[in-house]
Amino acid sequence: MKITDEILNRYIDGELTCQELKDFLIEVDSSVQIKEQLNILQTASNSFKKINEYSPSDDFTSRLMLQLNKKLKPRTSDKIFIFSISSIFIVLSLTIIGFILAQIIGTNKPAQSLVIGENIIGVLGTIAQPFVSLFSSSSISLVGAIISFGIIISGYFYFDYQKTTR
Amino acid sequence: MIKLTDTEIIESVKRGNQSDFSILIDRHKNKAFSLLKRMLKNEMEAEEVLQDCYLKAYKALSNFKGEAKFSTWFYRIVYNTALTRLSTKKRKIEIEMASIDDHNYLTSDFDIHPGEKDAMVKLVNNLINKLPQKNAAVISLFYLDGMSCEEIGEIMKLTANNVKILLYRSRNILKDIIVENNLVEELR
Repeated sequence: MKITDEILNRYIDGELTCQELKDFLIEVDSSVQIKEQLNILQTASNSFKKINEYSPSDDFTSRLMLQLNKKLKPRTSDKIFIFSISSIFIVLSLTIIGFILAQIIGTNKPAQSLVIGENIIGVLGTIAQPFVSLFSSSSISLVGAIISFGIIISGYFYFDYQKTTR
Repeated sequence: MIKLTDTEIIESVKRGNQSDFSILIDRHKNKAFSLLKRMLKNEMEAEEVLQDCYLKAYKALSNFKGEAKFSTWFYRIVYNTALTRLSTKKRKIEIEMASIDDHNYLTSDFDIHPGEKDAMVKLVNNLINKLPQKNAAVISLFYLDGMSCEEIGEIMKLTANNVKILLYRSRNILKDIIVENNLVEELR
């Protein structure tokens, strides 16, 4: 059996098979050089067992728990703000989609059997009427400016919210 | 007093007892900090990264299914965060310069006088600080945490055989240092 560094290391870790161990011990007994090599490697391995365990600062846990409480619990005002902004955008988007759909369906004359459909179109038309006037050419720039301003402001607060909860 | 297992503590935290997370922090902080300090070679940075790791672990606790041990799962976060930190700061290349193959570079740094009782502990700690981060991590996880090569492989995404190679090479470096400094008798 040729005694390599790998064999020596495997012996130290107790990973040799019965046969390998038998052959290894014969080799070790017959060679002072291999015995010496093994002793030194064993010493190196034992020295690694004495390595220090380091510890972070004493108040590490308390500081971390404080940080956890602060970072992971978003402020109620933030939650309300994000909820309101999201609601406004969802309502606005749904209304616009509804209006567009109503326009599309309205251009095609429905069959007589689709009375319910006509009723829905009627309701949608009534809901969409204020928005039609809102988005009319005279007030479109004003509405656009307000929406852009809203997006910028909410973008800023959302970024700030992400920063604090990160 | 009954000692709760990591899994029981996690269940408790998931039920809303956030303060129980501090038990997990206290239980693993020293070993995780030792691993980070050995990889990053900087105490302040190691503490900062450890904080990040616990925050990440807390946020991802709902994803922890208990298939692996919490320690293995957490050390994977620690190891990966340390690697990310190293690559971000482009320190990886700098540290890799002190490659494990540079035996001469490593051994020349250790001038131990026979008779110094604490010298070996100091030497071994210094040596680990000089090792590339992978070797330092393997030594820390194997000897300090008592993990098996398979567990270490799972954390470092290496095969158990590659972990063994890193372990053997680290031992051989120390063996060479012992021989060169004639420390065999001192250490027995």
